[in-house]
Amino acid sequence: MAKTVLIVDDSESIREVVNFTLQNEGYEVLVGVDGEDALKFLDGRNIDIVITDLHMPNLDGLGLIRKIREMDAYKHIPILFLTTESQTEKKMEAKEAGATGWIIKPFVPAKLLSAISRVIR
Amino acid sequence: MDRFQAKFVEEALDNVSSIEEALFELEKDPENKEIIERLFRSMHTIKGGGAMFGFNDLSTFTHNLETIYDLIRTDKLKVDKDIISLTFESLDYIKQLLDLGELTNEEDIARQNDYIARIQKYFPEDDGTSSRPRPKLVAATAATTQAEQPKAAGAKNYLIDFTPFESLLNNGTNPLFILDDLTALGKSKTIAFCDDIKPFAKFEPLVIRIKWQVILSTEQDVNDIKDVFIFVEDECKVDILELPDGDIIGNTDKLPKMIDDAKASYKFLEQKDFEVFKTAQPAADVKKAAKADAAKAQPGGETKISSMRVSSAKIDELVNAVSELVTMQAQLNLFAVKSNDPALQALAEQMEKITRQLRENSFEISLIPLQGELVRFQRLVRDLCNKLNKQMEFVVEGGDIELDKNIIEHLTDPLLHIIRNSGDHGIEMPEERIKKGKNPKGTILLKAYYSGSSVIIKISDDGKGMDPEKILKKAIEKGLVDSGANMTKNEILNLVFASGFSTAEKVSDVSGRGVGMDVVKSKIAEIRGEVSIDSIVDQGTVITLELPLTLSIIDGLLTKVKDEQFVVPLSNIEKIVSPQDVVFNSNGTGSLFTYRDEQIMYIDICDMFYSQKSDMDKSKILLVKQGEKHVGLVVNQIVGEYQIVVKPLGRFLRKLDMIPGASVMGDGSLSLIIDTTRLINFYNQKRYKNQK
Repeated sequence: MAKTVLIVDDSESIREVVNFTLQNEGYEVLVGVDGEDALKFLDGRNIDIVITDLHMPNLDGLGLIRKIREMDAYKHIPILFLTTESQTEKKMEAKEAGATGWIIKPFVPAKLLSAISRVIR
Repeated sequence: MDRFQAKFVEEALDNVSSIEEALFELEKDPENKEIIERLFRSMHTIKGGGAMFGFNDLSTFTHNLETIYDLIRTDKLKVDKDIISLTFESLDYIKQLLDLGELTNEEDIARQNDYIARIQKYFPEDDGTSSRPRPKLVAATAATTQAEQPKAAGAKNYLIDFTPFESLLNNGTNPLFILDDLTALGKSKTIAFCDDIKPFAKFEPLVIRIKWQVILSTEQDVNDIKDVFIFVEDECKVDILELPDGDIIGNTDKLPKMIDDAKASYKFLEQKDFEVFKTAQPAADVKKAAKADAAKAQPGGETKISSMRVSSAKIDELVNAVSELVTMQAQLNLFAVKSNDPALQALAEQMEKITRQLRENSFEISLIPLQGELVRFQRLVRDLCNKLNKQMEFVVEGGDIELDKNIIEHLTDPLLHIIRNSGDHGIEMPEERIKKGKNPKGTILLKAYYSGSSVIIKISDDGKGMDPEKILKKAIEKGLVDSGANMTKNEILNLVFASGFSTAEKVSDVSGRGVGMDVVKSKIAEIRGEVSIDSIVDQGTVITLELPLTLSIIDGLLTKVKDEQFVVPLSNIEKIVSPQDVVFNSNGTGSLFTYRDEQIMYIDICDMFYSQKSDMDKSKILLVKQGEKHVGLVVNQIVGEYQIVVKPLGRFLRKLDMIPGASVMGDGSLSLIIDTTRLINFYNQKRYKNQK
């Protein structure tokens, strides 16, 4: 069965690229425009992985990751975050919030896919 | 990625105007954290997207601007009038950058550096994280460059200790994937130490109590091994130890016992345990290793740009220039031969070699992968499923095949039509499929692959297929063929490409909109491609497109018919035979000859174009393949092999599809290019009409 990916980003163009890349690879894709918006998908349905941006209005990436980790259904699903910072500080913060890994922007589709394949298969 | 660029620009402009708005608010309320946060986020989006979509200079610039606001939001800097006006100015500049794309001339780069320097005045002195202005034209960003890792010669052995912390599973990490990735690097032996796992009654499913040791023999760099653990660096302890060279993993006398002992004593193997595998290294090897190290050190720090983006207009220009060059080269060759100057001839020959190389390279550049177009088909199939209540899956094989962008542009519509047909007419309703013993979910497969100098795209479905009898009946009704016509199954199936033929019993919302398969055929023909169809009732239909790799230059055989020059694409010609080598059939109606036990129809081009029979003794016959048969084309003289730059014939002659173009030869004379398939079809139709 196709794996379901929830992508969360406030930038439409990034959403499109990620969505396009993933659909092409045969993933089912759910799209949230920010953390708050993404919560509506987290209703108990099967989600295999979450990919989220960090800087977003309403509910930011860190907040979203913490919320997801509080939900029983999604406590242990892999969460990757998108970040432009390669500095460790931001990564540590997100990892402490419960993220599994990260993808550094800018990325090419292959990099996105390889990061995903590290955590789900 | 290009397709998303426009979207990014649009979005970035939106962000710029929301920054502008926020700036006006900030001017009135400089302490408002919420506004600053908003500003920061918008800049961040521009920066991130910029780097993604090839606006690296924009990204660098915005990074600097964003840094100011990062300082402000962390209370290291105060908002003042100057900062606000600088930001306004920067926004105007960002708009320019969105228009310019990558900066290519020194002037623009100098201006950008000036701007950045002005922004960086606000940075505290010790701020080492801000990126400096870009030095000159050699910009190397993470997205486009990649440090060339010198590969160590031969496989090396490593011992990797992997001790996850108990919390490893909490963040959604699966340690088995890590082990998978690790063992994928080369040959390996993995030892799992499981003694700490609690008995079943006390088992804790969320706590990891296993540790692993992997003996890995790999040609990859140590960094590639470290890379496997990148996400879990802080959730486990990893040690990577080098082991002696040689075949440790294949060892059968010492290694198994070592592993058993380690497991029994629940103790990791140590580096020194492997010293028994050390063999006395011959001096020469040591030297070699030293040399390899030296070689390694040399290119170490350099980065190489592995790809870059160029506007397609520039590529078109390049391709055009190369096309002209090829023509000029032909002229030069001719001139050199005439001049009888060996030095000039040698030069011309050298030039030709280089020209050919240049031609091949530049055409390779203008190829783009098919993949980009495919997503819309995916969407189409999905929409069809909903509209028709069918279950279908669209599968792609070979989406990475590359084609000339002009061909891809012409390919989308025909492909859409074919796939729509497959979904609409081919794939049955789920109930019907179940009745037939098929999977209720139908499959439409698009498969692309190279075959010689062409690309084959096959679109197949596992639907109900086409019934030749029905098609023939319909074709007879429509007056496309005679009722007594004796046709092979293949010929009948290909009738669907005849104009005025549509098999759909009723016009449906989806495909019957007056555009038939004949349009597909003519569209594909425009890009010098061929379409054929095969189908088995209840098993499905396959439509095969054969496309050329490029449109603008072909390798052709220059021939003369009467006094006119004609070019036949070399790829179409199987063989050239002399009329003396064949036996002409004296009886019978058509023009036939026998060559090597095969009956071959031939067309005398001189007779066809000038109504004047060729003098067979002085002519040559080109054997071309038409479907499964050969056809002979009689030409009066063969001049030689040329690279032909195809020029279209212009508006008034565009309908003459057997002559798709012409070419200017080196001496300025014109030659007409013959599309053999069309010519033969035309001839057959004429003959058929005459017989009627």
